[in-house]
Amino acid sequence: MRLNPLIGISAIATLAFLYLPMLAVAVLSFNKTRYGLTWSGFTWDWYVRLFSNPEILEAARNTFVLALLSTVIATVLGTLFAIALERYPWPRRSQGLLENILYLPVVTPDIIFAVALVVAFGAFRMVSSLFEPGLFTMILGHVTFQIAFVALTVRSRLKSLGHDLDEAARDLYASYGYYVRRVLLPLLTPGIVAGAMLAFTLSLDDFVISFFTAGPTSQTLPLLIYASVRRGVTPEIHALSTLIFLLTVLLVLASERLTRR
Amino acid sequence: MTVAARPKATGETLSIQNLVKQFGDFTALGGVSLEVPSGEFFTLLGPSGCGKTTLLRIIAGLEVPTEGRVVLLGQDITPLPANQRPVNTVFQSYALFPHLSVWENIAFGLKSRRMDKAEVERRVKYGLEMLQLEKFAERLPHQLSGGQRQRVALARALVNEPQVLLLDEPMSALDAKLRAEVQVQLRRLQQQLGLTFILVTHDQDEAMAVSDRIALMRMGHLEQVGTPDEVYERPRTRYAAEFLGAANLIKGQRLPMGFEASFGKLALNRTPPWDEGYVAIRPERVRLSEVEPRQNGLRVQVREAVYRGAYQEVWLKPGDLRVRAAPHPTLQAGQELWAELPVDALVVLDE
Repeated sequence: MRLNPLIGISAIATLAFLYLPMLAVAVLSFNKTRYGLTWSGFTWDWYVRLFSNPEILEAARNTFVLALLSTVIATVLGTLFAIALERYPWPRRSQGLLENILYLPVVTPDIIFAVALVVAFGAFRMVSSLFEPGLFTMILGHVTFQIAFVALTVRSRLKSLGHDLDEAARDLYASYGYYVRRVLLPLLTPGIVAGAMLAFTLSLDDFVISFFTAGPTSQTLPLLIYASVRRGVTPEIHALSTLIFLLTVLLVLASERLTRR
Repeated sequence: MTVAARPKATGETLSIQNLVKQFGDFTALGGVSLEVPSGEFFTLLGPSGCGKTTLLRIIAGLEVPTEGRVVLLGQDITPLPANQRPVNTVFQSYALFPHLSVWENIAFGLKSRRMDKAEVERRVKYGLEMLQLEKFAERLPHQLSGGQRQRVALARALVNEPQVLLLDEPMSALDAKLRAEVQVQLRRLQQQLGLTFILVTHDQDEAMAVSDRIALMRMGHLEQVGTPDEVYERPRTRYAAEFLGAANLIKGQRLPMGFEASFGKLALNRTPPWDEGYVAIRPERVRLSEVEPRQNGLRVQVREAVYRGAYQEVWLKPGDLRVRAAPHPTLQAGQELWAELPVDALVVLDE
């Protein structure tokens, strides 16, 4: 059967619709013109300026520290949660409930989560000054939405492993610790790494949660871009956006590869 | 360099005492008792859902019985978790560790007990040799054929020198030809090692081929336990007669000297314990001939005959008897002849 060529054309049109704006930004990041959209020649200038702008460097540092710390915490908690969900003999009904709870953060609008965090941190602030808006509250905020993504990725890996191997390990005299070290963790590693990369990407790109939980000294790149755009989009922002986009693409591709294995 | 070097225990290795297992409302095992002597190849045979796998898993320690005891060499092992029982399992899926080489898979049970390195090396080497796996030591499970994987699973269990080796349908994933070969090898291996094997299968041919004794299971109970020929030749119940070799069941009444079926009188060599009940006869024990037999002859008509190569399958009327006859001469539907139901082939069932 020959496929209608229209299907191919519409697929290409869809892709164009998705990626043309990004492509435009990437092209403009190499444009010599400072204001406006006319092309007046190729330049690396904006990238060079980017790396000599202390405000941007500071924001980049914050972004990576935040992404790294929140990812480590979320990966540990999410992995444990997935193992508990999948391996602990829950009564059937609470298993279903737990699974729904796990999905909830994925489908809840970020803004709802963000507002909830603002309220919660406001209350905690009465107890400890630790909850003043800043890097710490941002880490907590990011961890809350990252956990679900890590847990879901690890859990699908656990599901595909099945129960045979842990029975085989027990039958072969393995203690639980030995089983975890020699069998479970090595086999889960691709899932854990993929989940961590996904979490890292999400943290890197997050705007809404960061916006509501950030303090004066914890500006991140997405927040900085937002603030700059309000003052007018400059080619520096195009350059920055292009870099962040490329990094995200790389992480997603890597995570994809790991889950497929 | 032998796994069998351990002094052979005498008498009962394994004693199953009144095991009950319930999953919610479902009774998987309804009070099963068994004695398996040392060095026996014992088979749990039955259809899916009869409780055979549950029984095996309880022996392995992977399932906790609701009631009853598992006694191994005089010691009650019921409370012991799986990783403390001197029992190893060959799983239906083989459950090889996919990230470990054949060598590491076989060494797993030894290393997890922190056996010293030289001993691990020695035993793994022995296991590889025993199952002709030397060439594959460094391969990963997914680089092996089904038959090779099965041998790795066997080696991985046997190098631990278990008191009892449990085999959960280990041949179900192999094709028919390989399965027949593996059955012979498995039997030979068991005899060489003198180990107690407990096999779970739903395949009666497999059970017949390898076992010293067979326990036929049905709905969580033992229907009949005996040597393959006892269970086959002398089934006690309709279920046993039908499950093993699909016997003909003939319903009828007891007579002072034999038995009366709907199609005539038959002599028996045992007086039935009932007034009305069943006798069984195997399809291959019914004799067809042109001349009237001296005893238990029956004038029959061929209702249908199917040529199956090595034999022909014939349905007769009256009585709806199924017969396995020599392939030649080919019989035709409607043909009339004599069927003999030899006295020694008629088995009086207990019900």
